Amino acid sequence: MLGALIIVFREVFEAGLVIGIVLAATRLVAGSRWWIAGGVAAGIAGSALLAMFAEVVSQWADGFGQELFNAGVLAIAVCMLIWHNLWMARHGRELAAELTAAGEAVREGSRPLAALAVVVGVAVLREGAEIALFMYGIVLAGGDSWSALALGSVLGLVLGGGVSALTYLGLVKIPTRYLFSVTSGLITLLAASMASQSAALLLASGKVNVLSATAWDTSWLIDEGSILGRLLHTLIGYAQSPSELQVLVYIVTLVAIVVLTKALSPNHAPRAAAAGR
Amino acid sequence: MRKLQFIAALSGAVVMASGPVAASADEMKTYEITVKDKVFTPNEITVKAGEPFRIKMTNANAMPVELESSKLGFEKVAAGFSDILVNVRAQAPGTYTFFDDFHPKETIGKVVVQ
Repeated sequence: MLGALIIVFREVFEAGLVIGIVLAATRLVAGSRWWIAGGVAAGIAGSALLAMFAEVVSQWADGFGQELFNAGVLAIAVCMLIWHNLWMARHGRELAAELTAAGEAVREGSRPLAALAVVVGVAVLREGAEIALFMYGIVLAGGDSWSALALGSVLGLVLGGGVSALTYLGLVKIPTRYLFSVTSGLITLLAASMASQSAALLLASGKVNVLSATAWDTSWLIDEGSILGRLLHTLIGYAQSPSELQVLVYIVTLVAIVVLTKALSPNHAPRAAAAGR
Repeated sequence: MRKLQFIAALSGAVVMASGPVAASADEMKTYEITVKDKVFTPNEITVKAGEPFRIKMTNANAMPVELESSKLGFEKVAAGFSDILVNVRAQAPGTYTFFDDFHPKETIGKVVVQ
C-alpha cells in the first residue's frame, strides 16, 4: 500500500504545486476557481483517455509519439503562461489598485483565466496519464493486494491535493500588493522550466538533434529523484544533467518573458516619454 | 574544462566519422530487453562508448512499467503488454543503472559502456 501511495504521490506532486501557484495567482478573481477546477477535470479526463490510447500514441512517429505529444502540450502550456504574464504586466497594477481600494473581488474582465486553466490541465495530464495507467494496471492485475494498492493510490492523490493546499496557503500569506509580483515570478520560472522540459523531450524523441551534448552534471549535488530535486525541477526547472539545448531554451524563455514584460509594463512607456519631454 | 570537453567531443566525432559506421538514427543499434514479474531480461547490456543507441523494452506484464534512468536520460512508461523504444545519447565508459520507476528498488538493470 505504501509503495502505491509513494508512486502516486510522486506523480501528483508536480501538478499539485502548479495548481497551488495558479490558485494563488488568481486569488480574488471572480470565477477563477471554476476555471481551475475545469482545468483539473479536463486534465483528469484527458489522462484517462491518454492512458486508454497509450499504445496508439506510443506507436506514432516510429515509436516516439509519447515524447512528441508531451513536448507539444508543454509548448502550449508555455505559450499560455507567457500570455498570462504579459497580460498581468499590462493590467496587474490596475487589479492590485482596485483590490486595495475597493476591497472586493475584481470583475472577471478579460483576464486570461482560460490560459491558466489550460496550464493546469496540462500539468494534470502530464502526470495523470501515468497514474491512470498505474491504477488501471492494479485493477487489471487483481490478486489479493489490489484493494490495498488502490487505497494507497487514493491516499497518494489526497496527499497531492495537500501539496496544492499548502502551496496556496503559503503564497496567500504574502500581502496582496506583493502577491502579484511573486506569482508572476513563479509563473515565469515555471514557463522556462516547461520550455526546457519540452526541449528535452524533443531531443529524447530523436527527431531533433541539435545541441544534444550534456551541458553539466550536478547529480552529485542534488539528485533529481529526491524530494528536493523534484521540488526544484518543478519550480525552477532543475535538471541534473541538462543538454545544451535545454539550457539555451531555458535562458531564451526567461529573457524573452522579462524583456516583454518590461516593454509592456504600463509604467514603463509613460516614464520614457516623460524623460524625453 | 568546457574547452577540454569540446576538444574531447570533437576528437570523438572525428574518430566516429572516420569509422566504418556513421551513426544515423536508422542505423542506431537497438538492444532489446523484456520485463516480466519485476525482472529485466537480460538485466545487463554492454554497449560501445561514444555511440548513441536505443533500448527496446517489451513489457510482458499486465502492470505498466516506467523505464527510467536519470544518468542515461530517459523516462518512459510502457502500458501492460506493450513495448517502448528509448534513445540514449553517446555515453562515456562506465556502468549505468536503469530501473522501473514503479518498482525502483526491485526492478533494476544496468548498462555497461566500454
